[in-house]
Amino acid sequence: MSHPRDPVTEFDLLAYADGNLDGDPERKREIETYLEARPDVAARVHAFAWQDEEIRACYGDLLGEPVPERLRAALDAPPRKGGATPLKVAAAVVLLLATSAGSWFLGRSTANEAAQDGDRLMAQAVAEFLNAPAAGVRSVHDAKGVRSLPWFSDRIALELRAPDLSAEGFRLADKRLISTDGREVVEVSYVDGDGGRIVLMLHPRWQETAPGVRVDERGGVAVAYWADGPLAFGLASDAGTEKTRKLADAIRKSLRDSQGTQPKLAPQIRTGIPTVDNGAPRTGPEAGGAPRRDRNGPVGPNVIRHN
Amino acid sequence: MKRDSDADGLKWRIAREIPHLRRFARSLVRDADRADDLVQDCIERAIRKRHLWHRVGTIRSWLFRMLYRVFLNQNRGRAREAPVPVEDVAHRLAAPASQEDRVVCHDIGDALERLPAEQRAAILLVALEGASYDEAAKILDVPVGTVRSRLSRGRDALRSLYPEERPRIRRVK
Repeated sequence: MSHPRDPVTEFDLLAYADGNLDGDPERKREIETYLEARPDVAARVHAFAWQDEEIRACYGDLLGEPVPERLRAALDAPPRKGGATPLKVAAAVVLLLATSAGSWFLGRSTANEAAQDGDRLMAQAVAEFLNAPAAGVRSVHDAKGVRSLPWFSDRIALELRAPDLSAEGFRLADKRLISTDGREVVEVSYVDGDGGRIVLMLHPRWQETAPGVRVDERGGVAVAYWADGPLAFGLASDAGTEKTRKLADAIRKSLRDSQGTQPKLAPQIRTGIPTVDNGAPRTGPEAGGAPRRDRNGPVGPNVIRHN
Repeated sequence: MKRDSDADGLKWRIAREIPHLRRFARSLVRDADRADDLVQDCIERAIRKRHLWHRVGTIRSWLFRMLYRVFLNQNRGRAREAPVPVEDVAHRLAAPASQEDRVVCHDIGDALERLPAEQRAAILLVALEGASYDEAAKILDVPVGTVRSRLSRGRDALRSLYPEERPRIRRVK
């Protein structure tokens, strides 16, 4: 019996079974000779080739199926903004972002009250979500792409950076100051390319710590709740607990990345009614896609309409 | 961007691959809707990332690689199906096929389903799509040696789960 020029390896056997040695007839003959002397190995190799045939018989017909329309349509869909695969948020998502303002807080609460605050935040997030008006936001472009939010009231000036959600496909759309539940709240809207909308609400409250991200489901609405430093967050959506958690993680990370661990708080007390801007789009270079994150500091006074 | 002829050319080429993508997706996840979801995610991602297409290798490899990556990402959070002992498999294989959604074949598909996804993917790429080991390695983003070991282990497992009925020794064509 002639010996193969190289020892026969598993690689050769696999290649032979898969028909990959057809281009090397000499080697192929060597393998076949090798197999003739080893029936059990040959049986294995034969089984592998047989598996291939079975698999092709099993799945072969799928190539002939008509292509569903939605897959053709996917080719023409406008590309989503942002880099990472965005989460599919089916409807409006409500975000409550609350911060302790140190000595400028609007209300004091003990640790117990803070825990109750948490529940109240979640209840509020759910209520807001269910009552959220249909999307119809105007676009507000910040030329530099940094979403700083000076908040003017007759008692407190507070400046925070809104989360950069461009990686999730959302861009900042609208800001306004409203009153809710006896508190003054800044309401910020984001939209994505598919009409999904996030409403972000900011109001100061006493600091509270909560470990990790908690996700509960209430009446079909998933609510994620967590705190980072002086900030406590509540997030409500109908996208399911898993996606809500992912969005919560994305927001948390985005805030950490853009702010460090603390938001910038501007310790200025202003009095009087601020200048009203009716929210007309700013002139100047429009951000064509999602605004880019800028870590160099807040830029531009984004004035908020005062209700 | 729609008037960009390069983009249109790429879209056309992607369109041609859709049946292959659907087949590969159906072999990775059995449910037809989930498989099409996978393909849709892959197409959208490919359009978004078209600037990454460098014309190295084939469009098919590029798309398959993307589809496999999307598949892995989506399955990361899912509960893994517990491995089924071989004896139980024999009972299941004896039962008649039920759902309309299932791929026609019944048995080897069932057996493949019981393999770890990475072995299943390697076997399918080679057996079904006719990929070379190098191509499979690129699609799965692993070294060629890993492809071979997955093939070898996977096929041995398949052999237990779904043995040939009449083993006979003959030359493999």
